[in-house]
Amino acid sequence: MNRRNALRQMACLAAVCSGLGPMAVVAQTADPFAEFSTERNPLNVPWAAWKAAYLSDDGRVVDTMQQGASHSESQGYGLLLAAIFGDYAAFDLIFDWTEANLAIRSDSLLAWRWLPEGNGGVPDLNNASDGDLFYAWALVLRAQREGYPALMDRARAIAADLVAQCVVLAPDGSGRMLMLPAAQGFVHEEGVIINLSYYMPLAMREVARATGARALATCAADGDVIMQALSQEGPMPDWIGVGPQGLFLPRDQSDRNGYEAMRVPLFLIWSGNTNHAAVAAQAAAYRRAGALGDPDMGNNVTVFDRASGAVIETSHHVGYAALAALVDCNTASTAGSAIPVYRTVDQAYYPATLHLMALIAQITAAPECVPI
Amino acid sequence: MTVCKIGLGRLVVVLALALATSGPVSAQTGVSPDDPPMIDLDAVLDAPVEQGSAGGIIPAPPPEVSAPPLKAEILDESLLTLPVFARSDAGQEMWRGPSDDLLLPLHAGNATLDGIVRLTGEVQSEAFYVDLPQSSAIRDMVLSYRVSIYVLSEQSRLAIRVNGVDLPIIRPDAFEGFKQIILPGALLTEGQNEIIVTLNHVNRIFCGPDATFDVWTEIDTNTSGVRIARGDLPMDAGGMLMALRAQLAMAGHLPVRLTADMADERVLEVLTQRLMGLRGGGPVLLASEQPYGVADGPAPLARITVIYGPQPSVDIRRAGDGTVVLLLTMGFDGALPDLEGILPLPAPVANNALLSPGLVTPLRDLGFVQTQAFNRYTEQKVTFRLPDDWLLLASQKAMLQLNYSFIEGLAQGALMLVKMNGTTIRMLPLDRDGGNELPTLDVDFRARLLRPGANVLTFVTIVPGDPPGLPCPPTSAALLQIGDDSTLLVPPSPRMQMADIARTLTVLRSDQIAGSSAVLAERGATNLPAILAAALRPVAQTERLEGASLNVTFEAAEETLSLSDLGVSRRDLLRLFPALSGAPSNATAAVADETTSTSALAPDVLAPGILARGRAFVQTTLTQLRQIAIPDDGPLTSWLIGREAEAALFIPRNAAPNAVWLMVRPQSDPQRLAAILAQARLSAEGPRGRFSILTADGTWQNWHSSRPPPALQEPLTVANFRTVAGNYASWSPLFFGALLLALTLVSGCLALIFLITTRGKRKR
Repeated sequence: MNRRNALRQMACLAAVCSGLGPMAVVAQTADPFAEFSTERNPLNVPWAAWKAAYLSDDGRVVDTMQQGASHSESQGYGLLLAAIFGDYAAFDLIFDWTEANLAIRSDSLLAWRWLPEGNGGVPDLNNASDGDLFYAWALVLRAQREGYPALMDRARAIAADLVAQCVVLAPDGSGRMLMLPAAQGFVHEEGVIINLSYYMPLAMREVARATGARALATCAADGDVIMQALSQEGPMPDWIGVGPQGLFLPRDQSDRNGYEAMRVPLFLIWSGNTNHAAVAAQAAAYRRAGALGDPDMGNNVTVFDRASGAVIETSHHVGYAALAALVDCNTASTAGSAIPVYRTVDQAYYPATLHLMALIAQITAAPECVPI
Repeated sequence: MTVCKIGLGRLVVVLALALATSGPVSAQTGVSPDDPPMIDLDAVLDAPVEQGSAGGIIPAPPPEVSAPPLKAEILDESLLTLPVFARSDAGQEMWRGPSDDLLLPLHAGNATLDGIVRLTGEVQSEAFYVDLPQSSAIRDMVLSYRVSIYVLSEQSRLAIRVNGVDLPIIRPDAFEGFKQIILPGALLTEGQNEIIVTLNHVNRIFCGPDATFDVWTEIDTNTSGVRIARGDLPMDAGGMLMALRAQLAMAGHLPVRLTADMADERVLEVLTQRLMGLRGGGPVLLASEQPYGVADGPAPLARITVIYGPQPSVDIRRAGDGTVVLLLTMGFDGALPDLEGILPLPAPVANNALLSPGLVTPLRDLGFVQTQAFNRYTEQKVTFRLPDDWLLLASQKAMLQLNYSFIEGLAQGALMLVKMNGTTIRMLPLDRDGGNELPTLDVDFRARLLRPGANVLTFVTIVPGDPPGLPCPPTSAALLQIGDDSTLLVPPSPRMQMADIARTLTVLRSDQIAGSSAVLAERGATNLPAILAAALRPVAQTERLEGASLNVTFEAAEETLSLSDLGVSRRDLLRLFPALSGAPSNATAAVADETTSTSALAPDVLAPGILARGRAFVQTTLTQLRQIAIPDDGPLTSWLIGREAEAALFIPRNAAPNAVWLMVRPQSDPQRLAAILAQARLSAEGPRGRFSILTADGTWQNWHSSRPPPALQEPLTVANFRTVAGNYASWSPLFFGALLLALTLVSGCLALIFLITTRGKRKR
C-alpha cells in the first residue's frame, strides 16, 4: 500500500467520522451519489449557483462562449448533475427541453448543437457521443434511483444507438473497440479519429451495466489501454488517430493537451482510477509548467504542447485550476488539495461545470483531497 | 412525482413527433436549403468549424459488433458540423483574479478599531509600523489619507519620516475622500520599519481651542502600507503572519475552513488564543467556513484550514485561488499540531506603568512622553496604575511636584488645568510670566481621587487665539512644556479592596469568558464570547484570578443570574436596552413616570395634605440619612432611570465580587464592543465600581455601591489601624459613628460596672 492509498483510506475513515463518510463508502454501492441527493449534500450551494448561472427557465443549459448555444454536452452534463443532486425539478426541465429540441434525429441520439439565432434551432443533425453518454447516464441514475422503466427505456435506446452509430473496431487490427466523437465526420482514409475526453469510464460502465450495451464497457476498457500507451509520451492529446499502423496525430492537428484532454484525468479520478498513468502524466505536466502553487494566480494552464511541455495558453477561469489541483493532489503525498472555492461569477459554463465535477470527483473518489 | 410524469409524457410526445417528422432537416431547423454550407466536412477537427480545408471523409463503417445502425436522417452531409467547441477565453475581457500586488498594511502605535487613525490639532504626530519579508520586491509604499475641509492646504504640511529619513513635504489636500500617496519604497528594509507621520495643520478660518478640533487628518491603515509582489511573500511562518495581517486589514476577518462536523468551538478557541495579537489592540474575528462554498468576490489573501490526517502537522500552502493557507492537520484522535512555531502565543498586552505608593516617582517613569503642547487645546495625559489592593478613602494627601514652562505672549485667558481622574486639582494661568524659568510647583490633592488600577493625570492647555477670528500664525514651537522630571507621590495604604469591575476585567483570561449558548444562539451571537476572548488578551503583570469570570448575556434571564443583591429587577436592566424589553426605556420611562406621578399626585401637589407632606419629609430625610450613613451612588434603580446603554457590566452578587456579567444590546457590533472593552480595561475612564454602562458615544458611566464593604487583605496591626479605620469611617460614617458610639457605651458600661462593683466592696 503506497502512501497515497494509505492517506485515502485514512481520509475515508476521517470522512466517516465527520459525516461525509457515507459518500465515500457508497461510491462502491449501486448508487454512488446517494448522499448528494440528501439535505446533507455538501455541494448544495455550488449546485444552486450553477443552476442560477447556466440553466435557463426553460431547461436550456446555456454556453455563452459558444454563441449562447446549448448542446448535447451541456444538456447531458446538466442532466447528470441534476440526477446526482436529486434535483428532479431541474432534471425535468432539462430533460423536457432536450427532448423537444435535440432529440430530433431519426435515431435515439441527440443533435449536438442548438443555436439561439433567430427563433433558435439545430443547424445540423450530427451528434456528439459524450453528450449522448452523459445524457444516458443521467437517465440511468434516476431510473435506478426511482425505479422508472420509461427513463431506463430511453437510456437503453440511446446506448444502443450510441453503440450502433459511434462504436467501431480499431483499424489497427488489435480488436479493440473505439468510440467515435460523433456518428459522422471522424472516419478518414488514414484511420479514425477519437477524443479520449469523450470516454468517461464510470459512465460507460454504468450505462453498459444498466442497459446491456456492453460494447460501451468494452470501449472504456480499451480506451484505458490507449491512454496507458499515450501517457508514456506525456499527457493525453486532445485528438488522436487510430490507423492501421497504430496511433497517429491527425492531419492538421497540433500535438496538444488542451481544453478537450484536460477532462481525461478528471474522468479517470471520478471513475476511481486515480492511479492511472494518464493522471500522473497530466500532474507531471502541470508541475513542469509551474502551474501549481503559482502565486501569479489567474493564469491557469489550459493548453500544453505535449512534446515540449510548454504552456501554450492559460485562462483566468478557476475551474481549470480546480482540475489541476485535483490531479496534482492525486499524485501528491500530502492531504489537502488546492482546489479553489467554487464560483460562477466571472466563470463560463465549461470551466464552471468541470469545477463542479472536480468537486464531485474529489468527494466521491479522493476524499483526502479536500480543498484547503 | 407529478413533475416526473409530465416529463415522461412529453418524452412520448417528442418521440412520436421525432418519428413523424422525417422531412427535410431545414424544415426542422429553420435553415434554408439555399443557405451556403456551414462547414466543409474536410475541416480539420480542431480547427474552427468555419475554416474548412480539402480532404476526404470516409463514412464510419458500421461496427461489426453491432447490428446495422439505425441511419440518422441526414440529407446533406455538407451541412454537418463536427462537435468541436471554441473553449479558449484568450483575448476576452474576463475577470483577472486578485491583483498580483499584496498590500502589507501599516499598523499604528495606537491601534484603532476600524484602522483609521485621526490626528487632530495644529501639530500632531503618529508612528506607524510595517514588517517586511526578506528579499521582497517592494513595489512602493502607499499612504491613504484625507483631511478636514477646515485645513488650509497651502500653509499645512504632511511630513513623512521613513526609518529616520525625511521624505519631501506634502501639502495635504484630500478633502473629498481618502487619497493615496505613492511613496518610494527604497528606504524600507527587511523586518520592522517605522513610518512617522507629522501633520502641521492651519485652520483656514479661525484660531483657538475650538479651531483645534476642526483641523484633522485621517490615515486609513487598512489601505496604507507597502505593496509587494504576491510571489515575494515567503511561504514560512513570517510570511504567513504577514498574509494573515493583510487579510485582516483587507476584510476585517480571517476565514477558517473546517471539515464537516469538526469540533469547531475547540479549534476556534485554540486559534483565537494564538491569533489575538495579530491586530494590535483590535479583535481578530475568525469566520468559520466550509470547504464547498461559493465565492463571488476576490479570493482571501490568507486562510486557515483544518483537516484530518494521520499525524498532526502544520503546513503552509497556496490554494488554487492564490490564497496563502495555513494548513493544520488534526490527528484522527482530534489532537492538534504544535502551533508554537508558527503561531506563538502573543505577548501580553502592555500594562500601565506602576506607581509604587510611598515613593516619589518621576513622570518619565510613568511613561510620560508627550511633554510638549503645540495645540490651542491640548491634553497631555499620564496614565499609570496603582496596586489593585491600594485603597485610601480618607483625607490623605498626594503630591505632584510640577516643572513646567510656556512661551511668552500667550493670549489673555490662556491657562492650564491639572486634573486627576477628571477632577481639576489646580488651574494655572499661562498669560503671564511666559518665557521665564518657573520654580517647581507643589500641587497637593486628595488621595481619595486616586483609585486602585488605572489612573490618569491630565494637563489641559487652553490658549485662545489672538485674534481668535483669524487663522493662527504658523508655528512649529511648542506653546507649553511639562518636565518629565515632575514627580508624583502617592501615600501608601493598607492592602484593602472593594468590589470593582475594572479589577476583574484586567485579570481576566480568555477561558474565563463564557455565555449561555442557548441565549447567544437565539440571538445569532454564538461567536460573541470568542470575539471578546480574542480582544481581551491577558494584560502584562497580572495574575490569573481564580473565580474571575465574564458572563455574556442578552436577556439577563439565566437562572444563574441573581439580581437581588443589586436591588433591581430584570425589567430594570432590560429598560437600558429599549429594543430588548419592548418597554419604554429608562429615559422614556423617567419622563412617563414624572407625568404619571404628577397627575397621580396632583391633588397632593396642589394641596398637599399633612400626611403626604409628612411622608415626603420622611422619605427625603431617610435618603439624606442613607447618604450620610453610606455615601455611595444611591439605589441602583434610581441611578438607572434616564439611562440607555449599548452594554452594561455589573457584579450581581455581593458574595462573588469577581464574577462580572456583560449584558449586550443585540444590535451592537461585537467587534466594536470587544475593542472598546479591551481598551477600557487599561483606561482610567473605563468601567468601574459595581455597575457600569457603555453609552452610545463610547463612554462609560459608573455606579458605585458601598456593598460589599472594603475588605482588609492583611492583618490589622497598630501600624495600619489608623488608616484602616479611616477607610471604614469614610466608607460609612454612620457605621463608623455607631461603632464608636457602641464602643463608648460599652466602655461607659464597663467603667460604671467597675465603679459600682469597687464601691460596693469598699462599703462592705
